[in-house]
Amino acid sequence: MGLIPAAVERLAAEFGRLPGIGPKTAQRLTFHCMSATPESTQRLAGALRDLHDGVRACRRCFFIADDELCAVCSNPRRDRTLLCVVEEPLDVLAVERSGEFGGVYHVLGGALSPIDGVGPDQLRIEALERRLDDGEVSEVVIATDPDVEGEATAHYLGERLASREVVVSRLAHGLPAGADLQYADEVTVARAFAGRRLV
Amino acid sequence: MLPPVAEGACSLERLRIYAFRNYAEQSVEFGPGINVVGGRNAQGKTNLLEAVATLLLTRSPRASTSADVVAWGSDEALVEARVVRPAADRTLAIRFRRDLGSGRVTRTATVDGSPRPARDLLGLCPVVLFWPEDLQLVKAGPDGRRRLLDVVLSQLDARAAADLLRYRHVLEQRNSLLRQIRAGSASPAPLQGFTRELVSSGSRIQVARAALVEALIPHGREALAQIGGGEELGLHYLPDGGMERGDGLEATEQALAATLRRRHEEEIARGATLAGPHRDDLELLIDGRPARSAASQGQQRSIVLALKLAEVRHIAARAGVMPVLLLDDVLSELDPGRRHDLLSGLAAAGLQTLITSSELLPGSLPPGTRRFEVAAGRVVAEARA
Repeated sequence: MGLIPAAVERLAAEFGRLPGIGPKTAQRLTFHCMSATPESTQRLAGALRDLHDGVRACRRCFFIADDELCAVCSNPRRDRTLLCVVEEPLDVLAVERSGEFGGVYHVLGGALSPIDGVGPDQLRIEALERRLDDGEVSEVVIATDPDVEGEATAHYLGERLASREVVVSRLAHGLPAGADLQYADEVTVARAFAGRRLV
Repeated sequence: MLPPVAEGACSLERLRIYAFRNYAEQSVEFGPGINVVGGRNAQGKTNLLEAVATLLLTRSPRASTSADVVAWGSDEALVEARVVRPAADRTLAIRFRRDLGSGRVTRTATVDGSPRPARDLLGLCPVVLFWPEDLQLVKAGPDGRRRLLDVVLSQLDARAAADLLRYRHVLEQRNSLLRQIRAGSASPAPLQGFTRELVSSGSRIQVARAALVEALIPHGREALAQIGGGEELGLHYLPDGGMERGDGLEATEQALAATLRRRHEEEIARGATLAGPHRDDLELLIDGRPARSAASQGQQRSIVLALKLAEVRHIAARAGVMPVLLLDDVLSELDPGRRHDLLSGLAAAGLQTLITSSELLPGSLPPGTRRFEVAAGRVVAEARA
């Protein structure tokens, strides 16, 4: 028999599989759960169990939803002529937090990455084109990540949508607002310079 | 041999390593001048220098993956050092952790205990490496000569460091796509986006390398003259993809993009990217002739040593501080006279130098040298020479 009971080992191993959790943090979380009341660990277990049953992808934009349509798509006050393309559902939350965008979204489900076998057919690009077919959308804002895959995907989408009667724009990358220029790293400052525009 | 630098030198005061290669746990207090790490072969002399290089460059210059440096049977490895700098002393640390789920090893870095992106460690304590394989730099393939340039660039220029990483990544993606296009399993449509990324980071690298080579030329010449070579050293950057001497960023981009367009069919047929900085070379000349064929064995050693000293001089001039110099088992290649001249020159310039040697180096060591003895993954003895 090992030093640690099997039930404890098992939970620590599961915690250890989560992103950003190392072996020591996994142990700490496990021991925290052990000292918590049975009710609170039941609540955690219940929340985990119900996660997949209670969530689905929005039929239209593929953001997470608890019904056919997500909260954005079912909101009549959102501007349906403006569509923001992002890689992942988490990116929707990031844009929403800015409060700057009143349009609707389209979640691609990733970015082009030949090493991982992700080509255009593995992304929800055809679904995006079907949404553009009815002509309601007048501008597509491409908000993929500024990494290699995100940039290549943005370029590809730009070309693929070029023949349509729709304005395609790319989110600018620049300095984080609220941050002093002197605290920004050189790479960000250099990119902000490269992406400068007239005032 | 090396001109003094007004601001002073960077040095490692105290190194602490944990589960790194064959070291279980070890602390070493280095002196500010020459430090000689002795011991029999395969005891861990090189691993100690590798730990220092891994910390200061954020990845091992010799291991292909981070997993290689984590001691067998451990899930974690750590290298930490107190670094004395003219601006402000800092404690740098890099930690490798094996993820229990995926088995992959990830790095995390801290400066004075607070988490930072690993790239923030680069250049905080500049370092110049001299490894035994560098002695083949003149005759061997171009990748060693490119690496020499890139190690300097990434420590002095954060933008160049980011571009080098980005280029390596986009090259991998683009080659993978080209192979898939060749095999008929992918459409060529996404290629253009990856090509643009390749051209933009690739041409910035070439412009930065060209400027670095220009800056290294006078330093290399002086260094070779001082270590007793009567010949004139020449460095000639050979960018791949059409960049001409004196080209700025825009011209370099256009040249590389045009070359890639011209070789499009060939790229697909071969399933590989056929132009760009991954195919650059640095030509070494001695009295105007290619050193590869014209230099004797002894001249080659002198050229490599001159290049390493040129790195030191350039970093000192650009960063305003002397770097730390790591010499792994290369002193035995020099005759005793030259060895003595080199070590006293380094000591006089105030450079911290960490040297491994399986010999005792009699008569070569300047006063103030500290000696360490390594056996079976432990630093077992420490004495002033």
